[in-house]
Amino acid sequence: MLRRTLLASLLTAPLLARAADEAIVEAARKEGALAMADSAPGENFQKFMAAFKAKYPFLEVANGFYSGPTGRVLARVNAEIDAKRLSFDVMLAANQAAWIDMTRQGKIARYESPEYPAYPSGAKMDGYWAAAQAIGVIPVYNKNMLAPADAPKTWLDLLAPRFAGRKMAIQNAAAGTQFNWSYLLTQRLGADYERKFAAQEPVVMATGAQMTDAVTRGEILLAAALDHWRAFTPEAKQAGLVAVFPTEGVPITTAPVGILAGAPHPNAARLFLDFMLSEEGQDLLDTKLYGMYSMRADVPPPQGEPTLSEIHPLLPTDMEAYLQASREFPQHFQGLFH
Amino acid sequence: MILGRRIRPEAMLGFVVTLCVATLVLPPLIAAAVAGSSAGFTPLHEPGIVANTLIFGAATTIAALLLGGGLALALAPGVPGRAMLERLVVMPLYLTPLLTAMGWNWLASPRSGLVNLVLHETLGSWATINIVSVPGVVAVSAFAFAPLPFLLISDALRALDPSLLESARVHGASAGRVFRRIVLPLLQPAALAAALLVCVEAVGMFSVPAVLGLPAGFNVATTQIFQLLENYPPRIAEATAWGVLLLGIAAVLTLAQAALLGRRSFVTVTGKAFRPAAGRPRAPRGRAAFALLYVALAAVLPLLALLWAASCEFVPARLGLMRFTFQHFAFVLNQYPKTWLAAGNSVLLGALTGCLVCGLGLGVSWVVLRGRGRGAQALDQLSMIPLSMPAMVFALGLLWVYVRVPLPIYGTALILLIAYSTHYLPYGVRTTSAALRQLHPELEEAARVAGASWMGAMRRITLPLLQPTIFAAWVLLFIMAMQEVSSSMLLYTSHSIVLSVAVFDLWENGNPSDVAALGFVQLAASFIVVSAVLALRQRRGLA
Repeated sequence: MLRRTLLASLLTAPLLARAADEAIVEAARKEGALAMADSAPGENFQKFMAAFKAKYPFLEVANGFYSGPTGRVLARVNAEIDAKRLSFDVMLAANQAAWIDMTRQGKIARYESPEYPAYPSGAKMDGYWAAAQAIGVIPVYNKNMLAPADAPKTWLDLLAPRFAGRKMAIQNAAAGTQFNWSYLLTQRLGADYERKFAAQEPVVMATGAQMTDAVTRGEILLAAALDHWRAFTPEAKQAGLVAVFPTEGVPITTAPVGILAGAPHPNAARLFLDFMLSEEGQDLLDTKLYGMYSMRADVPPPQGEPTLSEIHPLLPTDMEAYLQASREFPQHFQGLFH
Repeated sequence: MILGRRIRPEAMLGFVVTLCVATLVLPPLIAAAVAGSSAGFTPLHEPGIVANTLIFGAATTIAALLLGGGLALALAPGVPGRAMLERLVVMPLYLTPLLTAMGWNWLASPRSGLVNLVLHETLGSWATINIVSVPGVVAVSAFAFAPLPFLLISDALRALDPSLLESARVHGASAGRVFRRIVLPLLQPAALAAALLVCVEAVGMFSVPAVLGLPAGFNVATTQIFQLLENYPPRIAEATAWGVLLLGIAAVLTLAQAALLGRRSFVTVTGKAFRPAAGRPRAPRGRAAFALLYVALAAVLPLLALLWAASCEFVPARLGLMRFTFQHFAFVLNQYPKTWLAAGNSVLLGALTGCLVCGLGLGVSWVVLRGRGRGAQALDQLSMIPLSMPAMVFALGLLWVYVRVPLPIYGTALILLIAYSTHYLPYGVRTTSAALRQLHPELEEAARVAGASWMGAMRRITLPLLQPTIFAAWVLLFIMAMQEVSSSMLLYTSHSIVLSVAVFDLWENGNPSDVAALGFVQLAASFIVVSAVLALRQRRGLA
């Protein structure tokens, strides 16, 4: 599969290079390198970088590469910006509030990507960035431990007595995922929902991976706020994990991509941004490599997953309120769950 | 000093050592303190977490000290298999606490832990060992830290002058009385040093409270710092304020230690030599069994759980669903792009850290214990500061400093070396000074009187006598540097990634079975290097 993708991109490379602005390509050739800070997990991202490199072989992409969890990527990039010693060109980081904030602070470069029009509002800030990855935050159970008939169908089902008393798990406040879950469900179901949910005494865990392990083993009955793609990996399917897409809608957490102001290789960065947000880039990144959603309507969902519109995605509408809530979230969370 | 005279080498040593330590320690400390002061003192708003941190630190220290000290006393000469048991009891040091915690989570989480599945099957569902609890966090942490007091206290026992014990026995004291009146008081410095190390490491540890404490609703300073740093915007000021709390705890402990030890002399190795007299210990088999039980709980069982998790396709809900596979080992060895690069970096950084810290630690101890300068006490305290800085907060200070320093340090492996060397400097100082303290200066003085230069006395007398300690310290530092994760994760780049970070990244984002498999790679890397070094040393007849 990967080999075919690489082969295809090698064959189409000259065509696409022509499609991109020749001046940008020439300037990028002079820059010769791209430095990327990325929060997408694991080894799959290397495959995406390889596909980009195949398209623009004159760009060196390995030396400046940094990957880590979202919080660390943001801390690292901001530390460099504050010290006026930025080494990164492009950032992919799964925290939309941070993107809004950094854009206001002038830390994100303006660039009119030809790909922006393909993205819906709520998942982009025109002229600055757009969501490269979208993840549903959903309940997941193990069908070996919980009969599908007893499984929840809606968010309100999680308030049933059979899920009370440390039978469900959520992530702690450090996770952007958990903030989106909390904020968007409150928007959809009212502030009361989260309070009632907290009364069920869910277990708080440090990471999504830990939660997946716990629901796989049956240590908990339900992971109440899990990245949806974790229920669709081959191991998860074999273990019997089942994703629930509640009928009230699914909170979406996005990972935007954009160019940093003062990037050392701005033209290479433009090539990268255009590629990542293109139909081809999105199909590779989200559908093929990660099993996540693309916000583009022309990119199909990963195999075996419902389409984005079928799951009724919940996205923030008021960016100001969203940003404010994200600042208050640690205290808010602490008050409810500790 | 008279102008024009040659600068004395010991004065030179004092100057160079102080300069090195100050350069390493002060800039990040000041940066972190400045950042922390702008937040107000946040821990005051969270008294529950402060209390949790103190309880956790105190309980873990007591448990680890009893366990480690008990092991050191139990493994007296005459216990069957003593040499092997002494090596086995330090095995937990090779295991990152993150791995031990994961192993125990698989063994004894209340509903699905393997031990509990067996207990529920045989005794019924009332019989449950719940490791995801406060006692669980303390127990697993104490298992992980017990080798530190074991090493320090057994070193002190070995250095105990047997003539003191013999003369007490000759004068009619019972064995119990000798132990209470002579052995215990003489072990005090080692025990207190161990308590200090364990307590500060414990309150600064993230992984065990994160894996076993958070799900039990048990939040401590480090899990709080982690949340504050992973949030956006990273609440560095508040995180650092929590760091100041940990700094305060450590300062209080250091003062208490100094007050307890006072100005008493603990010199027991002087110019006169005695052969240790080996008595037969009571209940030798019981002692060996105690050591084996500890090894089983602290290393073998969690390792088996890790091995099991690494060889399952996924860690299953019922044993009937289990499928064996090598895919996770194959993945970390062949596919995971970070494994080999990280292994090389870790080994190199570990070895360099060991050398640097031993050298600098020895320099500091010598200046503090033998030097006559007024700055000696200040140098001692300066070199102990990193002990009391949680690595995460210290790393933030480092990052702040070296991003601004126009030297090629930021973004290279050098910043990791600086971080490790600074963080572990107190270990180098404590271990070398414990040994140096028991070496009476009369040995060096005798050499000087006999006409040796200062350098000559150091090279021919002091260093050879300290050599076993330095070697043991190097091994310990290597193993600890191999596992350092809290500061590494903020300072690495894709080129300087280390194994501990690769494991931690997988734990945060990846598949638990892959984490277990990579944990074995990390373990193997430490184990192979240490075994090779030990073998080399044995061949040269220095063991």
